[in-house]
Amino acid sequence: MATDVRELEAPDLLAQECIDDPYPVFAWLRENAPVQWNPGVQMWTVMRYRDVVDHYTSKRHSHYLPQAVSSPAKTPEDAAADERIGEWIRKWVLLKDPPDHTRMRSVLNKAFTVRIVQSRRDQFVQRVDGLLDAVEARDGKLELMRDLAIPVAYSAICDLLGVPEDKRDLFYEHGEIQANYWNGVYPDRAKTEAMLEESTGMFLELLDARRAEPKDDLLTAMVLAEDEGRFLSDDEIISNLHLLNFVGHETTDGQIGNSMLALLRNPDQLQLLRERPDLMRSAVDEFIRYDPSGAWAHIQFATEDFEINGQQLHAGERIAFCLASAHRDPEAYQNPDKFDITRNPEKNISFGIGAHYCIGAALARLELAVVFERLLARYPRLELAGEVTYRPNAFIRGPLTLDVDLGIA
Amino acid sequence: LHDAARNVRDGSQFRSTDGSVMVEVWVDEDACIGSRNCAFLRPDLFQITDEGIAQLQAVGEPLDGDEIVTVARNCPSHAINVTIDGQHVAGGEWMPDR
Repeated sequence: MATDVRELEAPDLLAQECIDDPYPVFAWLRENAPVQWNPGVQMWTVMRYRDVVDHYTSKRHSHYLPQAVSSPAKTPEDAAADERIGEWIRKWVLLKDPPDHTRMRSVLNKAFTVRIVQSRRDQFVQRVDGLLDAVEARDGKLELMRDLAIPVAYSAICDLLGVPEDKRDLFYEHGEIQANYWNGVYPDRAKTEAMLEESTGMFLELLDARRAEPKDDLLTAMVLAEDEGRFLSDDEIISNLHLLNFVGHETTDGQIGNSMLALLRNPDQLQLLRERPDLMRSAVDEFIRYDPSGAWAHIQFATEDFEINGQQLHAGERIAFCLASAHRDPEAYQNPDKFDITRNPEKNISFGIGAHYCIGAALARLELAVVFERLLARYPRLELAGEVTYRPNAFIRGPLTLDVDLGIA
Repeated sequence: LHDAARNVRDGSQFRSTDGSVMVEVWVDEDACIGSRNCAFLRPDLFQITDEGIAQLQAVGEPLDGDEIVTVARNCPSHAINVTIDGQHVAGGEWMPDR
């Protein structure tokens, strides 16, 4: 008789050691409890590639309003705060279904097409080189996250939106507070509310400025959408600016960190990429397969009772699809635990599947490619320097700090 | 950005029949966000160029209209356009989902 997986103890996904290296836990779950209710995070966890692919785009669940995913409210005060924060983000395109989703997404997509993103390549190269020049001028010691990954990622989203230079530090700070609230282990509700208020004020000013004087950026495209018959209300624009700040944050910079680590811990693959720069495209796919920052897909909730792989889910229950585990499933990949930049990327689902596919995928791919092209071109020897620490965030995983020896000091 | 010229290339168009209806499919390369959903769903019909853009492959056999419409409607950027008997059923600027 099959074991009831509810009898198997669910792992503590939020424990820091599990965040530092979740793969042994994922492997155990995939093998023993591929679909399991986890009382710690109050979610069903779905671990196998086939189950994720078959069920992720199902109509039997919908997008969860992401109120402090890792830390559901335990007091009436926290619940009330979550309710108020939820008001700010109800119009996120991520949470919408057609036809609203289609209308909103059609405005946003235009800023993220492969060709528009690729047209910024030279700008990315210059930025990465500028940041590395600054590290060399300082002391030659690279703390990858602070010195490169974070500034590259947030300046990319700021450029694209059109956030002026003098607002960028604030924009970054807001993104960090948001990311911590939605997914972090220690969300700060009061700080998040204050941040949303301040950020909204900043966005409203920017929208007024663009109406008065249009520019070549996404803020302008959003305010002008009305003229093209795809009206976005100010509430929708503001809500989605909060969203873009959050999703452009910790995902890409975390992925730059995870990818650097994969290369440094697998010197044969680092050497191969040096010798074969033409492998960069498949290397980027392997970065996001082997150790995706988006370890879990956006949380869903069941809209009706249904089964996944023999387990009965009930309406209203939260569901977490584990992309990081799916990509290590031996049923889907040969030698899944091997980091191999020559793999065929066809089955990669790190950016999701279907209509809600990550809008920033082309941008993230380009950032990753340029960062590693420049690092490899500039430094013939790259090595890990010291211990790696991770952010206290199980859902968007990435290093807190990552010291790299550039071989120049 | 908002003025970006839309550029549908003739080279990526082809025609095929499904029973008695005419199916026409083309990829708007300038709308593609490189999601690879199409190649994921139908690797025999779509490939991804080195640039990262979806491209229709030559099809040797008649194409199932319903199937291609499903693939097109899964495209997050509505870059895959489908007409059946001349009627536009998927893709384009803002097609309300049916």
